[in-house]
Amino acid sequence: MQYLRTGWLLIWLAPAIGHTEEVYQRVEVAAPYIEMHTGPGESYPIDQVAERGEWVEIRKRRTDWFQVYTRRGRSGWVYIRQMRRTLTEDGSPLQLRSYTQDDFRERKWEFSFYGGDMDGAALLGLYGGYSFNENLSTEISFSQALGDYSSEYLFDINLLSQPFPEWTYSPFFTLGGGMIRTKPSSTLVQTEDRTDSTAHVGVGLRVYLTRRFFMRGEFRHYAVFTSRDDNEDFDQWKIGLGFFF
Amino acid sequence: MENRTRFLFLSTAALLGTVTLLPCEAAEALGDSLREELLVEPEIARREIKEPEIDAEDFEVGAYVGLMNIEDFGTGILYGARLAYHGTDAIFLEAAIGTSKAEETSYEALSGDVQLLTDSERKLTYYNLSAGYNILPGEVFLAGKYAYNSQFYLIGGIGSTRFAGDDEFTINLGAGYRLLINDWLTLHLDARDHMFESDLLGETKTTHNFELHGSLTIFF
Repeated sequence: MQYLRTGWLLIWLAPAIGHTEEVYQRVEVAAPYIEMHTGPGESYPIDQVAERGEWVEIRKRRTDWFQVYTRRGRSGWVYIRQMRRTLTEDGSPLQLRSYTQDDFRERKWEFSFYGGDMDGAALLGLYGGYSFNENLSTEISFSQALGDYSSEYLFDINLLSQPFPEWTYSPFFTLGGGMIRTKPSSTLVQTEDRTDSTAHVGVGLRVYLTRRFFMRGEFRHYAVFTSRDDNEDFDQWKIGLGFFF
Repeated sequence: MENRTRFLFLSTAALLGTVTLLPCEAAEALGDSLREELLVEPEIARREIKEPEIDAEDFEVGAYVGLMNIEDFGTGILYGARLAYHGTDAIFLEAAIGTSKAEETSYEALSGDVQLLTDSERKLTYYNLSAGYNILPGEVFLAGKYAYNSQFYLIGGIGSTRFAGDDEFTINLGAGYRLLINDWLTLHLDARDHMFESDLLGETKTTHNFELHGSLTIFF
């Protein structure tokens, strides 16, 4: 009971602890009024407005919503489109970015997770990518393939070329190498774990969705360099959802 | 006398001249420097579009604790951690990792000393990657004085579960409730079904493993 009470107290005190003296951006409303919602989303009701000529303070941003405080200390969330109709202290309109397909072309970092199929086994994983320019990027990925008789872990580094970055459905080609670790299922007669190196080629399609989201589908063909007499190869299909910066 | 008058006149003129000329020269010098200053190309700063520094908080991280029912193996305490990225006010992506421990099956409990799994095999660990959708944003009122924003969301994804020495592909589906204590602190209540194929008890079947947890997260 004591702990519970302390916990509750902590939760109530939390806003006080989190508060530090910061200088926030101040803007003057230039539109006839801007609507302040009770939460960061279209579905939250508008419970007040800030009128033309009124100065408000921008505290934080969540997705395309901005938390503003009026001089009277009341707060609300304003949508980016209305936020752009305010002026900064030097009288210029407030510049705010929302993410578009152009930003997607100029992205530096991207992260995604994916699911798919690898020679009949379920595949899942995630990757992080860095773009050198619009056409060339590099990626590191970790995947796991879960089959009936074994599970495999893959680690890959690859280079990716995107010849038509301006297309909404933009194809790409990839080439890379990595490692595969195979762990046989425990219900089978025990065989040992093994690790081999791999190389792969692939082709895929990237589609910009909205804001910072994109979708990506890909096919890869892997070659495994084993220590046994013959090398193996397999195919991998995957589809993923990601975001970029 | 004439000399004296001339001397006086000249000296006065000279004096007056110096007095009047001095500031004149000074003014001239000032004017020159001013002109020079004006001749310097005025630096017109190129107006660059600069976005003001506004603290963007699109990520949410936190820990959770709850109960997980492992099919045929009782219910154990669950611990986990989650990291989410909010892409729009409705859609978010979440990565989570959790661990729980299986109890004995009824068969093991009844038969005495039969053990189907070793102690380490009883440990269940999962990770998953899911997408969530906030369907019912709302507001909760407390004591007539406080109002908190809340969201009800649907969530589902894919992942992997390690149990009884095997990794199994797992689909998770569920729903949750998010209560925003303040601008950055959030309470969650989450119910999730983790579905994976298991052949532990002979035949292969799809097991449903239900999880109920509460969590505390922060936006950053």
